[in-house]
Amino acid sequence: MSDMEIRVFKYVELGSWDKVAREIEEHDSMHYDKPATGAVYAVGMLAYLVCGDLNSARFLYKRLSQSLQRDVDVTAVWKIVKALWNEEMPAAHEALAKHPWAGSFTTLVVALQAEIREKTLTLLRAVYITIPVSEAAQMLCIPREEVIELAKSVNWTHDAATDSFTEPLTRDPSETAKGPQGIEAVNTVVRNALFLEQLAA
Amino acid sequence: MDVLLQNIQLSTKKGDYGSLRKMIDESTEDVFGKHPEYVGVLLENLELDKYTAAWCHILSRACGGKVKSQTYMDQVEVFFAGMAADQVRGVCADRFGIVSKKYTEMCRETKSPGRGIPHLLHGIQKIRKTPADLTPLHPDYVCLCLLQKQYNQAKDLLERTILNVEPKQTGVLPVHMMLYYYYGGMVYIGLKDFKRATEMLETCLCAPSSCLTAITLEAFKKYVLCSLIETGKMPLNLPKHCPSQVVKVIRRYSQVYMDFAGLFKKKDSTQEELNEFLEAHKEGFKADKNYGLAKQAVVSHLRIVVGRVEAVFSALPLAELAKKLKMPVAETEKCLLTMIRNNVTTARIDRTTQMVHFTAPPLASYTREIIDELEKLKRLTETIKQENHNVKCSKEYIIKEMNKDPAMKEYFSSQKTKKNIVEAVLKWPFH
Repeated sequence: MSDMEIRVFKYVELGSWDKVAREIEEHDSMHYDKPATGAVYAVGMLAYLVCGDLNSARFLYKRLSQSLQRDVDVTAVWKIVKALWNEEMPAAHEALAKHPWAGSFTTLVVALQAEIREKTLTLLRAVYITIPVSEAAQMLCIPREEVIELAKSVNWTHDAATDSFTEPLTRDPSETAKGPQGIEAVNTVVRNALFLEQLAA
Repeated sequence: MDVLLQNIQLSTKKGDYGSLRKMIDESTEDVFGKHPEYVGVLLENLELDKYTAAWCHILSRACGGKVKSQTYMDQVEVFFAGMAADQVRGVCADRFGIVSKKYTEMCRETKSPGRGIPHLLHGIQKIRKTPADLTPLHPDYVCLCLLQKQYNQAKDLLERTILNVEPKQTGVLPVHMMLYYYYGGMVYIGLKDFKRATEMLETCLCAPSSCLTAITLEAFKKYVLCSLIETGKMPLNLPKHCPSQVVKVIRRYSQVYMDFAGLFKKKDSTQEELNEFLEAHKEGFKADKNYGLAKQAVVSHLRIVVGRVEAVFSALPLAELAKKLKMPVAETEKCLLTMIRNNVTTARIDRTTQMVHFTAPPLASYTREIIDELEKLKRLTETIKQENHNVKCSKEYIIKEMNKDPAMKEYFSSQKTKKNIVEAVLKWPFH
């Protein structure tokens, strides 16, 4: 294994996904004529997916030569990328579960599954006031019992009569606020107000 | 050849770069035309850091001859790595652009765009004085990043705002500016950041020019489509600083795109109409390589319909919304999910009552955008203040003002040292 590959797999063990991606990009930039192995590029694509950078995962695949694109691991990751691109979460989970991942891939796959579920849950909470349990379970790709437990953890109420979840009546404002909070907000407002006054003067 | 070598060394030592240029130009046919291998021999005998200007002239003349691609590319890579930028800036900056252009062409012809990326970046970092300077290498670098699909690397360069364009120092021409922003727009289209893509393409349209160019026309076509994807409408007018010669004729040469944008303006236009239009002009869009963008624009038309519904209704049955979008209910729900994920709308769905509720976005969601804009404004204000200071202290400006105002002339003549003059300039009440 080359030094770059050793570093990449070390970063995977440490969970430093952005460093994995950066390492592969730098290698591709400086040694364009000495590509790494298919396994390394598959790890790179998965690292991009865990970081939520679907575009970079696509472009990494498109940069590869045809022989590298046919690599078993690269092909498996490409199926996941396509499913995520088409917003087909069940297909993405299926692709993750179906392929026999080994070695360093296991850490990445587990992280990616958790990341996809987290994002899907955030989306469901943003979109739905009420949602049937079966549909939530299908979108999150987890069994019904697990979905009910997960919903309780985010204060959703389970209505047994309609077999659906209802969001809490009052939502935590910090979930939707995107700006600074507390004393930081006051500092920001004062700085910006001073600046605008100086401009006007 | 020995005579040429000696003359080059002598001219460089004297700092007579005018004679150096003339001498190398005159010897092009004799030395490089008949014996392209002499280029390598000549360069080997000239130390790069001492004779950078000579290297630049030789490489720019050699690219017109029968030099081999691999050899030339190796020589240019050595040049970019070891050049003394002071001997290029203001001395042979125009030739530097020619060398870079030829190198980029060779990277493309040998199908090795990845090879050129780190070397061009090196060249950019050497030739520019500040990260805000535009150089002839900028568009070449972004072009190779596009070909190699290394969009993130191009984005790192594009994120730096260009504030200085100095043709005499860097050899940059209007075509470099147009191409840089055009390629930059294409990078952001690839990254699906259509807002930034529109900004880059708009800057391309506003580059100085005395007539409509092929680059501007292509940029305008992409600009129309990106505007439709981002906002659902085409801006009524191009910015005021867009050259008038471009504004007058550009719409005439892109009538299909104007008609396409016109469909988006109509209140009752449907997805079917847009798809029919696209199908009818498919070959034209494909020839311009804009078919994919046009298809994305058709999909983004849905946001206009949803926007119109949002403006009128606070809640609507999902089935009604599906009827308005002329889509099945399941697909409408999926479409809404995508729009909410992309922060296009803040609608919420109640599956029990099958209703869609349209709510106004919370004020806090604007906070981050406002703060970011204010930070940008602060940085821009600082830059403008600095430029104002530089202009006031520049010799040309002071001379021009002195010629208008005799009192000023008398006042500055009494200032003895340069430091006094600068202080006096800053205190003088310019009108």
